Amino acid sequence: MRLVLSLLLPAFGVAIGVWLGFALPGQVPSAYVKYLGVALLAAFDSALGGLRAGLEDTYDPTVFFSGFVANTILAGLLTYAGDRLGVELYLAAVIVFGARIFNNIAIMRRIIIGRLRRAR
Amino acid sequence: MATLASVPPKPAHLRLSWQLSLALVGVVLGVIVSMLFRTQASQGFPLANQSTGTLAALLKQQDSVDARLRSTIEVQRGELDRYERQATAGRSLSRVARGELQHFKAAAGLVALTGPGLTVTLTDSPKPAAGPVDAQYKLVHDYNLREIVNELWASGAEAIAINGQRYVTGTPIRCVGPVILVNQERISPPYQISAIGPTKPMAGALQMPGGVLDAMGPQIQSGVQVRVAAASSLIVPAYPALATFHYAKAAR
Repeated sequence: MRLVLSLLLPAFGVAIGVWLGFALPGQVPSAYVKYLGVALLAAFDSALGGLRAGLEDTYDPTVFFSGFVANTILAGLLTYAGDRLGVELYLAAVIVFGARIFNNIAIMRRIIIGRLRRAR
Repeated sequence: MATLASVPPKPAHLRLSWQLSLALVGVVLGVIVSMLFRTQASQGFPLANQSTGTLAALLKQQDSVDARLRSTIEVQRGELDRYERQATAGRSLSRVARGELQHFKAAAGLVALTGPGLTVTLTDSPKPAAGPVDAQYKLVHDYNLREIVNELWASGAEAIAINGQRYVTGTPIRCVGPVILVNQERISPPYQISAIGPTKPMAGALQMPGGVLDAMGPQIQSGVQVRVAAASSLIVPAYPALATFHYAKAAR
C-alpha cells in the first residue's frame, strides 16, 4: 500500500508531462522523430532504473540524473551519427535499452512479489 | 546514508526526494511521448512504411471506391442536364445559351460524342522481352501513343479516346512501369485509340512514309501489332470529371 502511495507522485508527473506535450504548440520536425524516439527509449530505461533502485534501496540521485541525461542524449546522438555514417546504429540503442527495460521490469516484479509474500 | 544512528533510514522509495526526482523525469518522459504521438498522428497513416502487399491492398480498395464514385458521375450529369433543360424550357434566349453550353461541353470533352473515324489498335509482341533493351522493341510505349494521338489531332481529329479514356486538355499519357497512365487511369495493352474525324486524311497521316507508324518499324518487326481500321460510327466517351483549378484563374 505504501508502495502504491509512493508511486502517486511519479505517476502525477507523467500525467502532467503528457498534458504539457499536448498543450504545447508546435511539433517535432519529422526528421527528428527517429532520434527523439530512440532518446525516449533511453529515458524510459533510466526512469525504470531509478524506480528499481528505489525498490532495492540503492537509489542515488546523482547516478540517476546523470544516467537519465547522458543516456538520453547519447542515444539520440548515436542514432544521428549512424544516419550520417550509413550504419543503423540506432539498432544498438533499441536492443540495449529494450532489453534493459524488460530486465528492470522483471526485477521489479520479483521484488514486489517478494514483498507481498513476506507481508502475508 | 543514515544521519542519526538512532533513527533507522527510511527505505529509498518512501523518501520524498526519490519520489520528486522520479516525478520530474516522468514529466520529461510524458512530454516526449505526447509530442511524438502528436507528430505521428498528424502525419496520418505513413504510407512509406507500409509493405508492398499492404499498399497493393490499399490501392485496390481505393480503386473500388474510385469506380463507385465514377458510376455516380453519369447519374449526376444526367440530372444536371435535366435541370438545364427545365431552366431553359420555353425561353428562346436561354435556349441559345444552352446550345452554346452544349458546344463548349463537347469541346471540353464533357459529353460523349459519336461519328465516323479511325481506330488504331496496338498490341505488344507475343514473344517475351529478353531484357530492357529488347523490351524497347517488343512493347508498345507511351511515346508511341503520344505520337499517334498528336498525328491524329494534326490531321483533323475532333475527339479522341484511348481505351475509353477521353483525351482532353491536360490529359497525360505517361509510362508507369508495365502500364500506361492516361488521365488518372492505368491502361494496359491492347491499346485502342478511337478518333472521330476525317477517316482518310487521318489514316494517310499515320501511314505516310517517315510518319509515326513508319517510325515504329523496328517494333513491328519484333512482333508489335498495329492495326488501323476505319469505322463508320465510333463512340468517344465523356471525360469522367471536371477540370479543377487550384492555381489558375481567369486573367483580365
